[in-house]
Amino acid sequence: SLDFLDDVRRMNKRQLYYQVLNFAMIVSSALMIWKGLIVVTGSESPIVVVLSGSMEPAFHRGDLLFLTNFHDDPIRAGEIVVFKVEGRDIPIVHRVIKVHEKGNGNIKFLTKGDNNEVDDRGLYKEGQNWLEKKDVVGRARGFLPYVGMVTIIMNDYPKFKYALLAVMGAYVLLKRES
Amino acid sequence: MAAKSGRNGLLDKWKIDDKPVKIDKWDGSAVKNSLDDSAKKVLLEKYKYVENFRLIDGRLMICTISCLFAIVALIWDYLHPFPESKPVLAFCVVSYPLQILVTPKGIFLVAHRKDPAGMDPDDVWQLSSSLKRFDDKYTLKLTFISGKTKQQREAEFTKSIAKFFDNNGTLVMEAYEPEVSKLHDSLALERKTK
Repeated sequence: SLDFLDDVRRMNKRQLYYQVLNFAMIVSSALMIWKGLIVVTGSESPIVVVLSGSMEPAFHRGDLLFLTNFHDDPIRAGEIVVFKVEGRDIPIVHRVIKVHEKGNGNIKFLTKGDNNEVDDRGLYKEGQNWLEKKDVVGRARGFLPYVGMVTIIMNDYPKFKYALLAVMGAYVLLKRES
Repeated sequence: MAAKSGRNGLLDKWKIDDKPVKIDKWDGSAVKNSLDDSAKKVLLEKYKYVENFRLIDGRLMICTISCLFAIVALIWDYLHPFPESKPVLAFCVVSYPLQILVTPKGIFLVAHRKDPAGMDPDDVWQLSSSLKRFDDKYTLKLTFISGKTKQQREAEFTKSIAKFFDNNGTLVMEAYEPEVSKLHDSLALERKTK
């Protein structure tokens, strides 16, 4: 029979509530760690996955990047930045190739993927030729190769993602915690 | 449990309070949980003490509040996107682990023995236990706090879990219950002779 449910059947109201609470605590902890990283790094997306091969051989598809976005970090030609084009969700990891800087700190810069033939103007918004500081998501401070492939697989096969989350959720809810 | 109406019949089939406890003997946390539960049963059913839920409810409350902080942080961040939400986020993120740390741990039963005459304040019995990961030695500690004198006495035993479970992982109450009772009686006896 369904022996694994025995633990749940023996639970009183409080213990059942604690199982649900335990699940909520795990979700909350993950959330707090993520938000904490956002606060500490100053970046709205402190961990990103490289989605294409446009920066090979420096970065490969599936690499995981750790970002910081400190306000006073200067943007100089030759440096790699992670930015978002206005209106698009996906962060892009490319190199800064041209910078125009005003005395007051205002910056306009142009980017290009190392492995691309042309600069990124084709990726920018209609009529936009330069990026500004507000478009920057962060600068890569560290990286882990291959680890991001899991995220890419889960996005390409959403059913796999939901199945994995469902199994993990069921496990936490049904396994009795002290 | 006497006969219940038809509506509760389904609930009765679901609950298996009387079935002997059978767990995976290699699963440390299941072993500890079943030993803790059975110790609770001895104190509550054999000695007829009344469970006081205040400590447990307090813990549940703190954990619930922590989750609420997390939800507040999530909603605030959604309504006022980063970086405006920074101070609120920072507050919730820092207070979250603090609340977890503050939660009292270890004690899994607080039970009261009501004074039969109804005059003296209740005696309080507390149970706590420990079972290290991958270890087979289970320690059960019983604490007695006299309602009258506020004096505190403790007794504990450490035994291998192999003494209480058979090969299939079924808890053998005939081996476990006397150990718990012995612990209890040793403390109760001291009380009478003082």
